[in-house]
Amino acid sequence: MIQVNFTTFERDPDTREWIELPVAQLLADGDDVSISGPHADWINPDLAIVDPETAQRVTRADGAERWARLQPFAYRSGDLNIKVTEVAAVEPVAASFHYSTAG
Amino acid sequence: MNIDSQIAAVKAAQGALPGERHMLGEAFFGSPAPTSSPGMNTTMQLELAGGAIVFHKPFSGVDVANAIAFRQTDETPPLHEAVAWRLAAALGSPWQEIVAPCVLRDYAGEDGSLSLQASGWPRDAAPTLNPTWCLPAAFFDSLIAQQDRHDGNWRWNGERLTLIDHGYAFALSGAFVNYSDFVVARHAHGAAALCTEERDALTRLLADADLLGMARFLLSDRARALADRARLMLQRGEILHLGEF
Repeated sequence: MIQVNFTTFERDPDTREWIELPVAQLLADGDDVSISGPHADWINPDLAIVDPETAQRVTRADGAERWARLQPFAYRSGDLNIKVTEVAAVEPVAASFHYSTAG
Repeated sequence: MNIDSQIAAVKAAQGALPGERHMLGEAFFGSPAPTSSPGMNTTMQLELAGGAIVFHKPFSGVDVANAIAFRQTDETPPLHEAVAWRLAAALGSPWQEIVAPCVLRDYAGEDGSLSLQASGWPRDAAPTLNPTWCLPAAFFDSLIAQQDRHDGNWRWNGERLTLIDHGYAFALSGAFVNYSDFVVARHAHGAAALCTEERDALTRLLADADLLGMARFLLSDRARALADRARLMLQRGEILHLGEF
């Protein structure tokens, strides 16, 4: 299972320290993808991402876990931080949107 | 491919606008945000002394494989970030208001692009449905040959649109396009025809042998491609189609 955590950083106006805030968590397991978190709607489940190794567009239908690993290549602006990890099965942290390419 | 002269030309031109002066002149405050996105283009989130949040993308931090997949080079993405803003600023309103300001500046000894944080959130379709925002965004993306304008690459704050991430732009003929959502939306709305201010902007661009500076800021083949697109748009009287670079 591939877990992708999306976060953003804001400055604390008092301490002027960076605060990391959760945006969404994407879990890809087999053909299934779930996206949860306070801004789950910011993550596009139908986004095609260019795989730098093949220069091909990759969608969820090409393999949910492969697509999940490519998420950092889709967001280059710097205001979304993306961490991809391979994990054992976990439950989504909150109510989530589920997407499946299984027939 | 050496882009030193293009970088020098951009640096010589920037700083005239008030927002640019802040981005060039203010010191960085504190440390960058402890970003946790390994493996992609290196981007540092920073605060300027005046409180503005900015993003620094060093030339040395480009993900080369990804850049080449888009037929960019190992250095053009930060340059193109800055040139997109230079073009928007040269064309003036309304394009200047919808593109995130960007300059070339070094941070911690690394030269790169420095973009101002846009307000708002991603993935809101509202600006694609509103001609006030969709028309200029589509015109701009068509002109700059934007290769990856998906719904994560703009911000909408409920009142205004800001286009972000112009690293993969100024494409050459035959280059890859992943998304150009505003171009697609404008065609889908049957609004591809150029309006008067768009014709005037293209005419102004082409009337200047220096392409309003773009001929110095871009590699020569990409500057010629920009002029070719502008001429084609004028000839047809409408924006180009998706991926028509």
